[in-house]
Amino acid sequence: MLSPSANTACSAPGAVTGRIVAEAVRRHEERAGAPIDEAHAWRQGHQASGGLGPRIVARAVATRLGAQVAQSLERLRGLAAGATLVAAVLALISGMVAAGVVFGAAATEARGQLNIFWVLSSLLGLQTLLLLVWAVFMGLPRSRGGVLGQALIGATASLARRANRDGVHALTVVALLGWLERTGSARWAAGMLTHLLWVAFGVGALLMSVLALTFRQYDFVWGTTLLGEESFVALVAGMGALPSAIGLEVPDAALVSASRIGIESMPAGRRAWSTLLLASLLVYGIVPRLGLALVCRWRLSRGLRTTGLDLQAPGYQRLAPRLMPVSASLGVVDPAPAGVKAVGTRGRRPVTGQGPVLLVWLALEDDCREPLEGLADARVQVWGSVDDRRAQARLLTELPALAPPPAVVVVVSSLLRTPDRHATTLLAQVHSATPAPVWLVLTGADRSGGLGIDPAGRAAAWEAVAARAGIDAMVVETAEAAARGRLETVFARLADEESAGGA
Amino acid sequence: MAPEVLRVAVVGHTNTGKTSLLRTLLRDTHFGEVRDAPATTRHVEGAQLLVDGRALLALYDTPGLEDAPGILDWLEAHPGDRHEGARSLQRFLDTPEAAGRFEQEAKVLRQLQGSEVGLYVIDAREPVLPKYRDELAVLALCARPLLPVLNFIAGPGTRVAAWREALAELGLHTVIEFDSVVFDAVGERRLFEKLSSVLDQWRGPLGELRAARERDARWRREAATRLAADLLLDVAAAVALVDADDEIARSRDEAALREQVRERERRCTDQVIELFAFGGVEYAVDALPLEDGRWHTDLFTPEALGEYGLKAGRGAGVGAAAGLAVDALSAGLTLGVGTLTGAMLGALFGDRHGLGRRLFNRVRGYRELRVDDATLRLLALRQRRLLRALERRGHGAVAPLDTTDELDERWRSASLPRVLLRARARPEWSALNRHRAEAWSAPAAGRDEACVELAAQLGQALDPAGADAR
Ligand SMILES: Nc1nc2c(ncn2[C@@H]2O[C@H](COP(=O)(O)OP(=O)(O)O)[C@@H](O)[C@H]2O)c(=O)[nH]1
Ligand SMILES: [Mg+2]
Repeated sequence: MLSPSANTACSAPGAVTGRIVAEAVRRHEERAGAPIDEAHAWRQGHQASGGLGPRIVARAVATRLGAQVAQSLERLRGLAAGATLVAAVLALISGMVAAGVVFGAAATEARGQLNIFWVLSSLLGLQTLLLLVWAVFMGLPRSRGGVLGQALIGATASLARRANRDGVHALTVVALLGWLERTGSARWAAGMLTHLLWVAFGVGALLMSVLALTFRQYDFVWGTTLLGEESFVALVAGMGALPSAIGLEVPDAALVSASRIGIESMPAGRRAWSTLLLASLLVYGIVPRLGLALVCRWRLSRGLRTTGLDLQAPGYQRLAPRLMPVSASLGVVDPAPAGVKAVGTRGRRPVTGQGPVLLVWLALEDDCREPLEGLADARVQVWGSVDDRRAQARLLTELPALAPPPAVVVVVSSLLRTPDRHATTLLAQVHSATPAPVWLVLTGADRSGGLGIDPAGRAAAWEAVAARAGIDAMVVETAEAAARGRLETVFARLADEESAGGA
Repeated sequence: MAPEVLRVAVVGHTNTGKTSLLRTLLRDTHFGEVRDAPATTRHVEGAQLLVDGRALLALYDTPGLEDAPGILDWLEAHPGDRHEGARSLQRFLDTPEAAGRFEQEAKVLRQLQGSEVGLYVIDAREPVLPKYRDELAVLALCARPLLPVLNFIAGPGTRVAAWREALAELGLHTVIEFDSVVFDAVGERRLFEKLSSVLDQWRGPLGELRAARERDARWRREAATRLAADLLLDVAAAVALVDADDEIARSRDEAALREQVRERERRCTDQVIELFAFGGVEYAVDALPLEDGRWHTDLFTPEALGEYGLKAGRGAGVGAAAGLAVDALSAGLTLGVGTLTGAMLGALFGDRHGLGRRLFNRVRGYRELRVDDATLRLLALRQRRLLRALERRGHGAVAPLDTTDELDERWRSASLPRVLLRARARPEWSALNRHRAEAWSAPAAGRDEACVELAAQLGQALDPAGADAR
């Protein structure tokens, strides 16, 4: 994160940067209320391959703001690296000062006598204690990963934000901190920095100790009032186990006993004791911290690398339709035929025939047929349904031969049907198969509401069909009305209309 | 040579909702033309379904079949040899009739021949008329699997049973029920499942498609509930300091807070609509029960509360305007015990804006004004309604958005979620308390988690308790 490591650690170079840029752009857009509208960026996002995540990143990086954020992130990295370096140098100096104080005090106050355990606990005690505290806190779910590192991150962030409060840098810092939080990396970043600083401290202390032990002469002693000598022998053996395992010379039991305060010290023991001292600083101070820093760095980069964008964030989801459309048009693959041809011309035949009214119906529901069948009497001949091809063919062949020709041919259909070309053709054929006027009665208006059908719209469609087929009159009537025998009044009305129209 | 993309021809009688079905499957409100009239579509138009940018399926919208009986008549009048089967269709397509009187039908038949499968769209309100049987007979000559889709099934007066029986008699046993206006995610999943049941070799892409659509729906819902949660947190945490003694200043500040909340609700509504991509805000807004982007009834009226079975809070009785409540400390328990405890907890746990500051303000003669619980409930219920309506709207729908829906009891009467009560004591969580010009500051601690938590609760309330999941 705030260290350059994030850059080198990510799988594809810039992958983590890209996500942080996307986060910054999203935050900006969520605050602004509308997505940045840059055609180039939309195109980049649209053309990117893969799922929504890569497309969002591609778009964000291609926006002007995205480029600025990326730059600012670069600058921030520099700033962070600088801050880390300064802090590390300070820690190194602190380490040197701490060691210097310990060795200096021994040189001046104790006439060159160095209490071995006192030195070790001054240089290693505090940080070991803090390490334990850190380890305990890392076990807690909400731990923040080390005070030192956190302070360093906070300081860098506030430094960067203060540099320009409203601008891109502030946005970048917010996006970065938010991203660390989201990926759960904040604690690892802070941990890594904390351990690095302690490594610097340890190195400082080690350097100073080497310096002091090289150019000054110390007698290593120890003393106790409460404990027995065996405890110290065991302690030294324990501490020396690791260094001696890698071949260093450490004090043996005899040397330990010989180094007790008050006993004349053996010059040969100085080397062994200083080896133990330096090795302890290295093995118990620097190495574990370095190891933990590496572990933290690994966790940090893994967290950054493996956590994808929060694609369900509204700010990302609203980009989805444009970045990753779920459909694409193929256009018209077979163009429309030329305009609809008229099948006949609208006629206005007078009622002249001597025969009965001929009643046929087309595409009616079953329960509408029965009342119509009941209308049969001397003046009304019920022909019946002409729904199927056979019935239609029969009507068309027998209609011209009817003698006397019917007074009117009434075709009853329903507003619930959508008129189609076949119906149009059929009506036109009926019209030319008889000299009588052909009327179209449309039932079903009363039921249309229940089915969500707009009767006016359907009537208009039928009107157009009637006109094309040359129908003489069209009337909208309910089936119920027809059943109650009022069809005749319809006929009467139509007849009036006819004679008025014919006059 | 196998094609790379599964081609599906959408065929059927005129005005049965073929174009609407395409719109819904494509999630595209601009595809083709939809009208309640015959012969609205007279060309063949295609579109692909994409998953992560890859085309997996191509759908072709065709003109309606209007004269299948005429084709059968022609075939009868021009018999070929008895065993020619599908070749008789080819013979027909090569005649001048197919380019003249039957041009529209010929386009449909050619498209079906050029596809792997056909979806035969049926207006399920229609009786099973002979002309439809004629259509199925003609389509069968194309020798392609045909899946009937019963459309209009969400409305009244359907004849699903009659259709299923008639189709079974014709050997069509796999029937899809799918309404292109009232969207049903489960129905869409079944549609793809049934397609793969007759097209075994396309199982892979169809499965991918299904999974992608489920994922998208889940994401969209999550995003939408987060928008609503964001709104609720902003409003719950909003607080205005009013001078208790200055009547004029007080009513001005109250009006300002209410306007802020209204504006905030409107913004949320717009964003939720935008998420669903029903073709631009202009279109969506006039199809919504929103006026000018706002809900018909003003948020801060007893009528608005009444519509959702809510009663005004007691805040109104103690001097604050309707929908607002004077802070718990200064005017009794207007915000309810829960809020009070929330506020006290906030104070206990080192919240800068807690008890201490309130007491301080109180001493200085200021009162804190907040939006009351009833209004929070109303906001939640309205967003829930909007979301449910949007989730159940197909892209083929052209009628206004239908937001009549049963209410959610949890939000109407159960106690408000704890996160909301916590938000009461966190003024820094509300964007309404922030000035626009203010610089970028670090995200308020806990706000994001609170938003996700509240969104999850809103998401749960979207599905009627115990009823159909997803
Ligand atoms: N209620 C309802 N209306 C539908 C449905 N499908 C289509 N429609 C309506 O039916 C009419 C015809 O639709 P359209 O798609 O143009 O049919 P097409 O001619 O087959 O393409 C339009 O008014 C649509 O809004 C449906 O499933 N339910
Ligand atoms: Mg159409």
